Amino acid sequence: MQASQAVTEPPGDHGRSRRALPQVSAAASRGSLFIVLVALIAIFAGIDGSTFFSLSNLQVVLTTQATYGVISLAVTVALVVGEVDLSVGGVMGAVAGVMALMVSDGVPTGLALVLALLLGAAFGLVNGLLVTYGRLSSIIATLATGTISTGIGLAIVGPNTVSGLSQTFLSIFATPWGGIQTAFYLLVGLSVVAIVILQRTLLGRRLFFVGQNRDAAELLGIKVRRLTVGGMTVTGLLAGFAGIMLAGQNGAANVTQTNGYLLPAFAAAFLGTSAIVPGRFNAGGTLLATYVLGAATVGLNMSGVATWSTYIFNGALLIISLGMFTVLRLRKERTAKKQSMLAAERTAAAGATEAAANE
Amino acid sequence: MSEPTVLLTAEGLSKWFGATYALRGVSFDVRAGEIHAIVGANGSGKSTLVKILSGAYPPDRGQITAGTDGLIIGTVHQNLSLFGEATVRENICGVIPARMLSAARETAVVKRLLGQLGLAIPLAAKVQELPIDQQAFVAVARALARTQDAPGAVLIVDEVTSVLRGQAATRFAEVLGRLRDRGIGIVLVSHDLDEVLGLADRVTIITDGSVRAVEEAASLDRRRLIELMTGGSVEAAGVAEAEGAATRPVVLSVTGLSGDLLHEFNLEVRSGEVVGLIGVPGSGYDEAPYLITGAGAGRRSGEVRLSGRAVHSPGAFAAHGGRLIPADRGRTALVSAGTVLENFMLGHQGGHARWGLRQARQERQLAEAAVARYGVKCAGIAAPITSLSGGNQQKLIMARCLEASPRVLVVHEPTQGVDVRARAELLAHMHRAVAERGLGVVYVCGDLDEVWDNAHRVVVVRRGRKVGEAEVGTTAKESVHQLLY
Repeated sequence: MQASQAVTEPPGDHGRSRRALPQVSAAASRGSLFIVLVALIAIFAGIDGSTFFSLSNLQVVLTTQATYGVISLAVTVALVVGEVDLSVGGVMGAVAGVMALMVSDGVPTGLALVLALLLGAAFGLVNGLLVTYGRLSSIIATLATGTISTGIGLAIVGPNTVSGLSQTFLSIFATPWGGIQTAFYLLVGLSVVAIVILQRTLLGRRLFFVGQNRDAAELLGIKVRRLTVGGMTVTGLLAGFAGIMLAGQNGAANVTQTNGYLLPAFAAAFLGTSAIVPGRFNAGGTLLATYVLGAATVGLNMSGVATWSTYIFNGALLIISLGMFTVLRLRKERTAKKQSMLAAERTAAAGATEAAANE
Repeated sequence: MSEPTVLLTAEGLSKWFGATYALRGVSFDVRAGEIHAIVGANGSGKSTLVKILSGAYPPDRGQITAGTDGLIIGTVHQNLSLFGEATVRENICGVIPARMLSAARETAVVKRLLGQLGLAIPLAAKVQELPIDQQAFVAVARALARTQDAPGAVLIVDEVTSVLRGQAATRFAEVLGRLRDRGIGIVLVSHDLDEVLGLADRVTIITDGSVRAVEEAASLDRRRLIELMTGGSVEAAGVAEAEGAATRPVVLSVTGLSGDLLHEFNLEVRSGEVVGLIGVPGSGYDEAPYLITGAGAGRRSGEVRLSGRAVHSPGAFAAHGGRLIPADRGRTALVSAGTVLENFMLGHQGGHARWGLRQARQERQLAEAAVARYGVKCAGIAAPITSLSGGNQQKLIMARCLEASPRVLVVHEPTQGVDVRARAELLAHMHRAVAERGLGVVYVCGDLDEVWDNAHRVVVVRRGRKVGEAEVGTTAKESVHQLLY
């Protein structure tokens, strides 16, 4: 009895002293992006004083980054099902141009909205079909369809910027509420819907399984192809919506103006994996990351540094966040493994005690 | 060939992995112009010997000496390891040192090589467009590509014939015979004893990591060879026809199922019955679990019925009460980025949601109850699945399958990488469901002892076909060997 007690005690103590650690690191991991955001604001406020850290600047950042938020969300949905969609920039521009053209040609705003969204979804559907039934790699397939969508947009709209859009249309996206345009609230609404679907529904979990392990998902009877096509169609739809939003906020649109959107979108989606649900593509993380990147860009511009440093800063931020995330995740995994082993040891020791007692 | 030249001699080869021996003092030699077969049951150490001979592993003890200077050893692996998109010429020349660069010169060299080997293969054809026996010849030619000016060559043929069928196997055998006549020493590794007896001049039998016997093939027959391999005398080959628990309902019926290797396979499983399914590697028995569930595009023809209803896809299989525990746990059973809870819930398709929203508390309760009941050791249901040991991962998979109250469970190598204690617990849960709930199980496993311990009857597959069944209670285990090889 004495001897077996000695066996059971030390692992118990170990377990207790280490249990606090994963919670700390999990919280740190979940919140790392918030910390980065606060640090950024503090730094820029320090450099630039009142201008950066002001209500009006906050309103500007929230408003101007809204389209980036939607396009990042689009990229995130595809990444959840394990596909890389490089066509979102092209689709966004094409849909923006077509939407602007329809509105300036007097198509009723509601009808134009539906048609433009359908166009975006159609591009996504084609991507999904190419990737599943066509068995193409999504990187290559969407690289191609992205260019094709730009071509189609130019064929319909032409190379010039379409302006003179109706007030009804503009009011949907650019009406200021509390100094922030409606576009921002629409982004938040979309993000909430995405968070609920991805995090709280069975559909969301199945999408995650498809993205993580296609073979296992298929063996379990999950309709892998259907979910992949569905996910990529939603990505196209969201990319189209981002384009519509851009036209609505700017009051004008050009098919080729969205080239610069692709990389920030991916940066936000990847950076987002370090927050809220660490280690996974998640809509909440993406939203937060969009504004971290946005604050950094605006802050750097305002503090008067050369443009080239913005590019370097954005890249470095992505690398640092991912590095931080990897370290935290590895540590978390190691701690959990140790705890599993300790649990097994404890059960074994308890079994030994029982056996000794029975004797 | 009055006095045989010894091309290769291996003496006292030993190899151990951790604390266990795979090989213990094995000696082996190959003569010019002979086919020397190596046979042994699963786990006998045969594969280790082949890997040492072909240079994949260094031996821990012992040495290999070449009988002549500049001896070339070429190996043809089971999967052939060819580049399907490349042409025959490119595949063969890929291993020749790069002194030749012009296509014309390469063509000339390859033509001469194929001529020497007595092979006719179109050089410009893409390898993947060739029939399988021609692909095997390409692999042979590549293995021997550097032997043209060498004084001697040894060709190791590792389980290649298991992918060849009928005519293709015959043609391949002819080529091996021709190579032997040219003085090449051939090491033939095969599970197919008929082939070994038909082709080989000598046979080395490996059991428990040692050479059990080296025999002239002419002095052996099937029966004697199996006796040597399995170390027991064989009962009269009277394998009983399965009667089954005739009154209970059939929960799984498979008719005419065909895949890449498996051909016209039939199987009936009754409620409360565990049917073992066994074969040697390459026999096609291990395709069965995936053909039955309908995963991938493997199913060529045939019908699978669960409680009378035909199912064609994993979705339908699952919907009608079928569950599968695949062999490749990490790749096909678990989502490695997920938690214990998520991997457990992977089995519950849509069962616990209201208006599409997951019921988090209910899920937690289910998972916690299952973790406790099945004795899954983990740091909690939120722990990453990768933090669990293999045995505990497998217990969780068993839990998620059985908790769905399936009528049919197909398991493939369920105890792979599971330690002895966990293994007993794991299988106890399965057997309880069989006895109490009338679960029907297909137990697919390459280890006869394991299948025998866990099944009511055992179905044997050889060369893609069902060759017989053995009732566990009334038949001697050894008699299954007669069917297996």
